[in-house]
Amino acid sequence: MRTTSARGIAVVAILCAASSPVWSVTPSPPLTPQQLGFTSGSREDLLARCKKVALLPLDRPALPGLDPEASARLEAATRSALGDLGMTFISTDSYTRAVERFSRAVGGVYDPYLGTQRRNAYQSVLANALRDFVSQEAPDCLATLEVALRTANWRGNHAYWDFVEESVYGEVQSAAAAFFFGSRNESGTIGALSLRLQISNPEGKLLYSRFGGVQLTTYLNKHAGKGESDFLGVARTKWLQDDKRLGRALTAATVPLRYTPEQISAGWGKDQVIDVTLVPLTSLPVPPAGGQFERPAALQMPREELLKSLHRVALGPLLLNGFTPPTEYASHVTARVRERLAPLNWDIVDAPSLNSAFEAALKSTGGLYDPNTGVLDKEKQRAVFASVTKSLGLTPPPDAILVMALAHTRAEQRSGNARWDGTAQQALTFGNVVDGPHMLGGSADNTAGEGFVDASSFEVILRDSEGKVTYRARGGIELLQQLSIKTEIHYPRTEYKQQLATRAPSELFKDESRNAAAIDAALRELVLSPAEIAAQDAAAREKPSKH
Amino acid sequence: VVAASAMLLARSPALPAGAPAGGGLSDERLEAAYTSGGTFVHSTALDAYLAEVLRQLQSANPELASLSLRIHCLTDDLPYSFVLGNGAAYVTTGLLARLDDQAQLSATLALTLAPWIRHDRDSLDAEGHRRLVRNFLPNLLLLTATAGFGAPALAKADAKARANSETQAQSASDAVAVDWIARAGYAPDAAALALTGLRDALLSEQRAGQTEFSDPELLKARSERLSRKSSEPAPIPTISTNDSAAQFARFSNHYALAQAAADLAKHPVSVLPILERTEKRQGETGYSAYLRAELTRRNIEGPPGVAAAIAAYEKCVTHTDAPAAAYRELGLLYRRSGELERARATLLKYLDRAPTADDAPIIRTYLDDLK
Repeated sequence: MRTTSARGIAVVAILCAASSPVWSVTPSPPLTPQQLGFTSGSREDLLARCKKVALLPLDRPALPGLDPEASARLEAATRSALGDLGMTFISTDSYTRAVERFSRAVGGVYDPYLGTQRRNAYQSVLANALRDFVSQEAPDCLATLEVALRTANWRGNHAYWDFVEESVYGEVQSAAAAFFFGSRNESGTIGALSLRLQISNPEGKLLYSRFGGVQLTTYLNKHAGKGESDFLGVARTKWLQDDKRLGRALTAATVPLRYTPEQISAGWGKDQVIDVTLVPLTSLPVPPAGGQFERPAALQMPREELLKSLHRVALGPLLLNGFTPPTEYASHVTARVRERLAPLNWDIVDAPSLNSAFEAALKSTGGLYDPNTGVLDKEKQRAVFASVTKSLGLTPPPDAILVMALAHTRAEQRSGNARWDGTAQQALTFGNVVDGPHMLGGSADNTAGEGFVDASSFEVILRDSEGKVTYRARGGIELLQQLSIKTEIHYPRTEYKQQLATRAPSELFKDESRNAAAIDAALRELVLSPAEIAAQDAAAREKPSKH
Repeated sequence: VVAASAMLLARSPALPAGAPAGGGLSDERLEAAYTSGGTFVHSTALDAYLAEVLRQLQSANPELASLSLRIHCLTDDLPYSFVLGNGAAYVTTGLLARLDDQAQLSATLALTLAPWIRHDRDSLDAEGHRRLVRNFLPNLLLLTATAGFGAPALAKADAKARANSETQAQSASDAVAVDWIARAGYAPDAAALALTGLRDALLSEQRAGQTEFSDPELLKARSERLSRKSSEPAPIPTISTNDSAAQFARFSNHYALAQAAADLAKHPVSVLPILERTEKRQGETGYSAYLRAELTRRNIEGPPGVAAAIAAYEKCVTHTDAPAAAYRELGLLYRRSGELERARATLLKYLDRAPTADDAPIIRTYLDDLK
């Protein structure tokens, strides 16, 4: 999210930046035990108590999509940081064994139907495993690590969060470059990653909790071109790979353990082992490169091959997923989908009982996911789809099943122009998006900054008779929230704050052209050849940009 | 600089005019966003109670009577109350949990509604704009003469002027609110007491926010101003029936104990002050005794600590409304202290009360070991 200050004061701001504290962002030193992270008792109490510590293992991976090895590196860095304070570590093998034992006792901690973790069951497994572990090993204290997605505030060229600082561009800019090329006169928020160190007594009473920032997960794209995102994302596989940044995060998270409040107060802004924002970014490895957020490929196999393999397709009823469109909407969608697929010459057969048949088949197999690992059981999946295909009673049986659904998603907006899933809509007015500023007839409003708005999409999933996805794509329908901008004057600056308000369900799905365009976008790569898509894109570029 | 300043003036917001009831589409959408948001408290009983408190305040005050107001509750750790331009008013669970009685709730609503009725925000914006225009040329000259280095001093002076205006506007609105409270039959010092109570509760919980009802410094300054206003002898309150007191206490205690339960893991220092406050008002219940026992268990230091925790859970399970988890914890503490028969009997009571709990299979493995 980005908030734009009035461009008009840029000159004044640059003149004043050197001398004024108004525009500088300096973390003020926290001094009370609470502010330092001591949730119960004092630093002295904690250090006197916690000599023999159990560092509970992090999940591997710590977050979905992360490198599983990163968890071990984080644990090693934590042992090193806490070891410097005189803490010794006891083995947690018996804890791991207890977690496995109790997971089996509760029948696995994953939902066999969804593959997601059963949160309450998992928590009770951990709590009981911990109880057994503590009674056997009698640690003085428990240390836990958590990898957390955070929101960093940024202003100018720098982002600040959880006691660290980074360049918002994901690159290190020299002081000379910063002086000559200046700083953006803007501010906002951006995605970041932190770790949280928590220390508790063996009974689970929290004694200490503090975050330390690791790295940004999103950068500002300073070279953003027309139609490109102003943000770049860092792939999850590149998170937590930089040991120096992990060390810096742990330094930030353990400062109050290593120094007294008075020492912190005296060293803040002066000493980089206390105030890690002083660690020069040039002394750290270059952060991983960011890239454009790319939509996953719609076709999961070559189009020609797919089209050759399909002759008869069962079309299920529209899944509403909590939306409440007008009653006639579903039949209009089905008619449009049939019309758009007509050139493929498929025999499309209505299968009104598809969703209920699928539900029944799932129930009879007890779910597709392994309750102990959360991994999809492909054999079961094949069996379920074979059973569903059979239960539809279609002769001859279909080669594939086409599922249609309404989906909740988020649209990225830039200057009020929101774009997602092949469509665009003005988030302030719900009108069309026309590139260019207001005064030149466009729909961009710079006061809107950047951010995300809830939106709806139409989704199609084509599965073969064994349940394997062969095509999956979305087409954006419309925005579910309206953006409004609140103007605040904080002399001499003007700030524009974003506000989002949810639209009433009765307002939605009424724009016929948007409904139809969403279906066209979702089926585009299935219905059109690459050459036809290229020609369509070229034609769109030649026309005045209007969606 | 001239061009820049001209743009600043040109970009000043259009100042809203008209009655507060004329909330536009934006407020309607904001209200819809709160209603469908995750923090909205869906409780018909609480909505009805809040609406009745608001109705009493409205019916006693002609300025409020004609307005279309509605009120709902949002979940938030901190005390907060606000009203949208279209008349949708909100209080938070953190506010209900820390007020003493209905008079204080009504007073807090009056303190929220008075600046809205009097258009304080619009007036302050208009005054800020007038100040900007009035000082434009002198400031421009100063900025030009100092090559911009005079900006911090100008910003500071402007902030001071704005703060003075805000204090004046708030004092005037608070005087109106105190009148409304008295006319509704409550003691006029309820407003000052509410703010003092909120401050005391927040300080005892070592918690603070940055809003008018959650910042201890702001609460102190405002309650002192309000105390001076309501120093005349208070009339005998006409609204303080047992019914309304009991209703308020039911909601307030519920949200206070919910806060204490959440704080056990993340902010344990607040648990005891919250329990003391609620038990002073309603006495000990099964749930408050359970939370106290949980706190005692988490503070176990050696065998005496285990005995203290056992005693706390034993006291808890004497209450008929003790949660099932109290039996589980007590059973496991018996097991820990070697009282295996009692452990077995108590864990069986837990399974009787929560046979389908997520951890029931684990407890059964403990029972197998205890055979």
